[in-house]
Amino acid sequence: MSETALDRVSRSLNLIPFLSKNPGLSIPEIAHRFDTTPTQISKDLSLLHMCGLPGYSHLELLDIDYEDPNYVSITDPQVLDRPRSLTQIEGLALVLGLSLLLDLTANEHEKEKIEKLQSRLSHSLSESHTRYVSIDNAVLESPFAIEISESIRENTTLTIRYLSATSDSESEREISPRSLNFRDGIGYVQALSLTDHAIRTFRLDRITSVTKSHSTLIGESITKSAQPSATSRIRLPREGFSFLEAHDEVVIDTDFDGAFYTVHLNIEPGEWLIRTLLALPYSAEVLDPSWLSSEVQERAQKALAQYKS
Amino acid sequence: MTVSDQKTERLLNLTMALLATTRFMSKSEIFQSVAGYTGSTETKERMFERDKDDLREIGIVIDVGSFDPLFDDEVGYRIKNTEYALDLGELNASERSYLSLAAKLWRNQLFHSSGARALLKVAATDGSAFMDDFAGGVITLENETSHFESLWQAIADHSAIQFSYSNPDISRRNVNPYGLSLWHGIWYLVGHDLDKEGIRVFRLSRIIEEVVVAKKKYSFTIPENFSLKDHLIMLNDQLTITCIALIRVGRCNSLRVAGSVISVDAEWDRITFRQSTSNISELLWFGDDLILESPAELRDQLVSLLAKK
Repeated sequence: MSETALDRVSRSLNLIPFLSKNPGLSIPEIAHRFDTTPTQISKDLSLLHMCGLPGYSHLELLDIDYEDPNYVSITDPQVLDRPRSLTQIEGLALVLGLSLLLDLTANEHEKEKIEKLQSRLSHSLSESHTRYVSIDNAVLESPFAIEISESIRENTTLTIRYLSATSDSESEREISPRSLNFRDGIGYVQALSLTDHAIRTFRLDRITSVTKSHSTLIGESITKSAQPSATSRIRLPREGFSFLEAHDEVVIDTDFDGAFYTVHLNIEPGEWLIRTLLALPYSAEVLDPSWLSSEVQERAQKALAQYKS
Repeated sequence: MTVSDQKTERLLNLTMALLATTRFMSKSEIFQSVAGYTGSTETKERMFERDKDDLREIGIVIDVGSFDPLFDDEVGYRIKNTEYALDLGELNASERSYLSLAAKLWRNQLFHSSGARALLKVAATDGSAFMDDFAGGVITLENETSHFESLWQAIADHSAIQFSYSNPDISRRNVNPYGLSLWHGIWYLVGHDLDKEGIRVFRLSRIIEEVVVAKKKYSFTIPENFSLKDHLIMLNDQLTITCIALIRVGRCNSLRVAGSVISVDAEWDRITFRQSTSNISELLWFGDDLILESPAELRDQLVSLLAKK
């Protein structure tokens, strides 16, 4: 789709101050940031080159240097030395993002700084737009998230205490965190675990404490976490819909016959699956492997026996 | 030079001239000094009227006023820098990194591109573009859905929408969209369902295929007293009850964090904790490491579920 003159004007008004404050980028780099093509940026620059203030002598024109396409700079942006103010949705993206960050730290001092920044931004937002979006309780409170993200940025190591739900135990581990993301409101940290030399995933809400450690990471040999060598098949009633939504990352395929889902799972039939099946608030049938079916039943019977004695 | 190029150039020159002037500029002054206005007076007038509308369409506020107090019959124009330009004040390094974290949270979501544009503008004020490139340690919210753009547009424009919804049976819905909410990691649409004649809450990931947005804008009004949160609270089971259970010593660690524990004997502890009435799965997870003592109804429910496993 070809751009309108207005699209180009909008982009140019931000491009000029951006280039004058961030000199030295190449045309393809600029295109990438402004979500357009290098050809378009070249065209923009040759057009901007002729724009300026009344008088239009070399003193009044924008002074742009793009002779070397690997090094673009603007020495005189004239009156366009600042970008446009934020649009409503841009402001909202930042303000809502900041309120999410408030749930990601337990540090009161940090919270205060984030809140101050938020109020500096929100005075420019119209009330109606904030009415259209709400992000209360957007994610599980994760007091260590920002601290862990800093550790990723600074490439440092941390000692964490972690509650494993699957093995139902708490342990201490030294980790070098690599990435942090939230799926369905739950935070996950991917980290190199120095304790067992492997990449592991930790749930943020199960980390009970974080302290800085000072290990160095030279020559760490890493074993990738194993791909599941076996898969499982289960049958769920209609209510199983929510299980499928919550675990779509391990579902290979599903077949719904109007009453039951037959589900193929890409996950090692082990402790996690046994407990998950045991915890479903309806009856589920294990089709394959058969030992998994008897294991779930056996555990249910054991638990039931406690109530009978 | 194409017509579109000429228009782009003229609009930029006009913006710059109106930004540079401290007093109001009259039309004749503009025609005389701003490059790009050519032809008969009538042509220039038409051009200028259209240009003014165009700049306003991209959100630039053009001030209209009398440029000479003695002859107030001729109006003048200018753009106030305070309304035009982004002014966040000085940002220190930590504030800058909070903004960056906040904008980058929204991977693949409503605010993904607007957050990125906001950061570009911030970089255009302080030259921090390179910092963003190397700022590792981003926290991201992974959320499905490709419907954001069209939904947001429909909400902002108050246009009716139509979509197919899988719950899991597929039905066609006609809705006046009121707002969006990120609630416990999941995006919901709240709107007035025209066929069900009431406010309904839809999970975005269950909207299948394209959302059809009606062309007509402002076809409905959102009731004055409407609040997104009121409708989302219904989704959240706020009802929690106090439970007492025996838990095996050294086990049920994630439950221990949430309750108060006293020792019973060498094998068992007793825990008192709050539990949502609908979330029985959490208790089933612990198998025979947990014996629920009260409340009796929840205990009966647990026993009957275990018997069906």
